[in-house]
Amino acid sequence: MGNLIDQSSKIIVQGITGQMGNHITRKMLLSDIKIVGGVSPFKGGEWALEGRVPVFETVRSAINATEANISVVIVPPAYAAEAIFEAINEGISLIICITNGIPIHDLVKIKMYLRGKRCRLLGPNSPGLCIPGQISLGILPHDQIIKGNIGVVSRSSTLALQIMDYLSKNGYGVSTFIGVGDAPVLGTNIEDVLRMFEEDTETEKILLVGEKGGIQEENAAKYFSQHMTKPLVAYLAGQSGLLDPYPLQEISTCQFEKTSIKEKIISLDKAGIRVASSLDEILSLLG
Amino acid sequence: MRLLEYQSKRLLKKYGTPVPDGKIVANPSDAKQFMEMAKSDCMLKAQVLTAGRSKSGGIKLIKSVDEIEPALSEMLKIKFENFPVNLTLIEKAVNYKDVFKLSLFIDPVSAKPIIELTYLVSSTEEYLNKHDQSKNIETAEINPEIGLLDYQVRHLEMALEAPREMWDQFRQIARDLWKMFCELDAVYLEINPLVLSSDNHLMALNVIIEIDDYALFRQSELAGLIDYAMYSSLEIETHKAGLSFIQLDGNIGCMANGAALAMSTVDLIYRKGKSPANFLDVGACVSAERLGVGFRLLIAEKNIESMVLNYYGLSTPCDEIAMEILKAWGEIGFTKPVFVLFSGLNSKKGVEILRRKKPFKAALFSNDFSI
Repeated sequence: MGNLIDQSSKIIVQGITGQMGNHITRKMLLSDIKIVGGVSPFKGGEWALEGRVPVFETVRSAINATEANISVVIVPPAYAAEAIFEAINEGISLIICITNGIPIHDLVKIKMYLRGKRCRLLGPNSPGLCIPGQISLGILPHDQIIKGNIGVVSRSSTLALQIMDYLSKNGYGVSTFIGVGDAPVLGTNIEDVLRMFEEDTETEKILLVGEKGGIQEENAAKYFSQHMTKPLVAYLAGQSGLLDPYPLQEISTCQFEKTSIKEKIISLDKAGIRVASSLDEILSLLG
Repeated sequence: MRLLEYQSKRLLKKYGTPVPDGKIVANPSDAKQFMEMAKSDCMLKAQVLTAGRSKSGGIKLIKSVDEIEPALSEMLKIKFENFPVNLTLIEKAVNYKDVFKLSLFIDPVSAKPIIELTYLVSSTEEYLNKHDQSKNIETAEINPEIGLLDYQVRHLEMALEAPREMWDQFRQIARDLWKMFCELDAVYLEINPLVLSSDNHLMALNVIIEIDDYALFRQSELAGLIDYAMYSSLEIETHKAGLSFIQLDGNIGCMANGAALAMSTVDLIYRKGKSPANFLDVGACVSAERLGVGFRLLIAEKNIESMVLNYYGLSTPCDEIAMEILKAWGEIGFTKPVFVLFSGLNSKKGVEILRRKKPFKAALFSNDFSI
């Protein structure tokens, strides 16, 4: 994953002076990563986190002063799209958007804007990414995930963490964890991460933590069957089917909720992905 | 958030798209008055959000004023998927010859807005014989920066060989719809049916508008249209507290911090052969206080006999959560068993705090816990 991020990467936090921004940056500083600045309109020139991180007025001034090329966006939903556009425009190469609840019309514009730009967006609503022992960006605990050879990609945060906990208690470690986030439109799709894992020398097996709704897993299954050689195990939240579209969702309003969980599992099965129906089964399928 | 038909029609009208003359009525005299002034057949339509109203008696053609009272009182008694009918819409009936469906939505694969026109029914036999069913839908992908272009609308009209009389009107309606879609942060717009009347006027007889819940902060007028009568008090209270709640049929209350974790917890309960009462996601980075609100709301529900809390300590460690639910117990004094599964930050501490505190049964998360 060296081309995405490594220990020499310089990181800024957009929204550092907000409550969430402050809290999350504090946690990130516990690990070895280089948080070289924060961006907060009208607060340029101040210092955040008890004088540890300089705050800049704009992404441009932050980059000029620090040479940062990665940004973690922890800005409230009303302003998050603007923060992302700014980061893309100023040449940030990797944006991790933690914010949840960005309106879908904004996401459509962001996705369109990313085309042809040398910028990768992870999220929105991404818990972050973690290379155990090296880097932990986002809301992930920096020292809880054990190093190993399993690449983990997930839409969720806490479920993935609980599963990785379970893996480590049973002797399984993680090469890299990437949280693509959970929003109707994502900057990086699950299939994009699968491609990264296929190329990553540290990853030998892959675990996909998915959930009902959307078509991320189906598209990933298609990609898997056509391009991948490494084994893939999946765990899907919502397998009981009890949460499949209920009366008010019935009309095709939610295009993103159109497939049932059963159909999703069938797509994965057909592509040769083994779907675990319990945490124990994940272990046995990983082998 | 889905709007009721009459609310959607008001918006359509505001954006310039023709809808039948109509009025919201909840009693027979208002309905009669409307029909007398209209001097025509009328349609009586139940204002509920569920689909398939006509099949369940939610849409009735009224040919005389005498029919109103029995039709209205019958309609007000029907429950559509447990939703009551509080309001009905009475409208002038329209004679039409061609029927279309026009929708606007965002394609999940390309993440682009799509406009879709479907020719449902034609008045001319000729058309129906010439085309097979699968060829009566046309779509166009819209560039969100540029918007809907006129030539795209012509493509739709030409592909479906729509009657020439409607082309100009249709172009205007498509433009109105696109403007509405953007300005209202809609995720789905559907005019069905969009009819060409006998005197060549295009008119929207029914419309569905669904607004992005995450955009309500910038759609204050729309946010005010939520009909709280449709929701249970638990749904309203959890919504107010910023929690994500879905009612299910069972008797085991369920909550977790994180949507997928909450879904997985519902699955866990189901796999053990028990029946989850609900889905409740308090949010991954929840504060102890907010989780406490959700906890207190859920434990008070009559249909819940026991509860499962599956918590991963992320920004708020498990011991703080343990203290909060212990506090709730101190205040309410419930006896229903509460199974707490802790993992993440300070999980062992959290389990310790709840040890030997009836009715809590706390444990570190593992696959075999018994409920």
